Amino acid sequence: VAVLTTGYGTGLTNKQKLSRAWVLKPTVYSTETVAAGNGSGSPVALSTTTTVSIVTTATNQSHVSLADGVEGQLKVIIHKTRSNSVDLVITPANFGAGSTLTSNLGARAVQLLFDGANWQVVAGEITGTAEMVIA
Amino acid sequence: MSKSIFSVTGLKQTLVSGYGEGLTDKQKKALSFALEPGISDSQNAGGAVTEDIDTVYGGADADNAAPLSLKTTTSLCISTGLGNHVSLADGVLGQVKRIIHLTSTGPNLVITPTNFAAGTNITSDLQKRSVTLLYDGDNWQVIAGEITGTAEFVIA
Repeated sequence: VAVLTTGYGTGLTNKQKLSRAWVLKPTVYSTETVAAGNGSGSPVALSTTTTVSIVTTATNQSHVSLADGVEGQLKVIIHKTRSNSVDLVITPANFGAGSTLTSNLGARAVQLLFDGANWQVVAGEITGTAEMVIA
Repeated sequence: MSKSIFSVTGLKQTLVSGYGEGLTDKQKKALSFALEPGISDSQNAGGAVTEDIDTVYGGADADNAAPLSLKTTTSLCISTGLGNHVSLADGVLGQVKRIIHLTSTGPNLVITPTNFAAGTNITSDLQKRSVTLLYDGDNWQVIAGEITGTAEFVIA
């Protein structure tokens, strides 16, 4: 692998990358649509190469899993449709805040970011209590 | 296989094919570098914050709501006594829309998407707040922003 090294360091600067980049206007994420799997023993794996997973739950369709990403990777999970009052249970392989995430209503979302060791929640209403307090 | 041609207008060349004019988002991604840090199109390459931002003054009522741009990611909204309503048409699958209630000098800001999964509209009663939406192909979904104050995803 050839690596560009100059007096400015290794690789291209952000400004150099910007000069070569196509900035998408507006921002459009890649998506997949997923029907959840049957129980904790048969979760459907969410893609780690697609930014957004649009998930539906129904009878015998409740669980999804999320393997580790790469450091800095963003994952958006939308619980689009909750049929038959079936909650969505998300189980990351490694999760900074606990073991699972559960959504008990459709039209909700959470955003995770992989920190190199665990998925961290970066957006989405999680506990109902203040997590970052503005003063 | 469609035939691609370049149309020349002055010094500007535009790729035209059976898929339309210019490159698709997928074609652009194939050529692009990931930006570090993540910078959306609300800032230009020089870092200025005025070129590509959509700044919107609210319309007088729901029937005269000011439409938010579908061509920029971030819209800065201003609500005043003269108007506080904005609207958001359908996007494309996967599209992200970030709405910042920048300034309020009067009534609450009311955002009314054409199709909204979680309800009918979003109201902000304080400036310097934001909400981020993503279009899922049918509806705009809230993906970030404090909305209800009640637990939606529960960690166990």
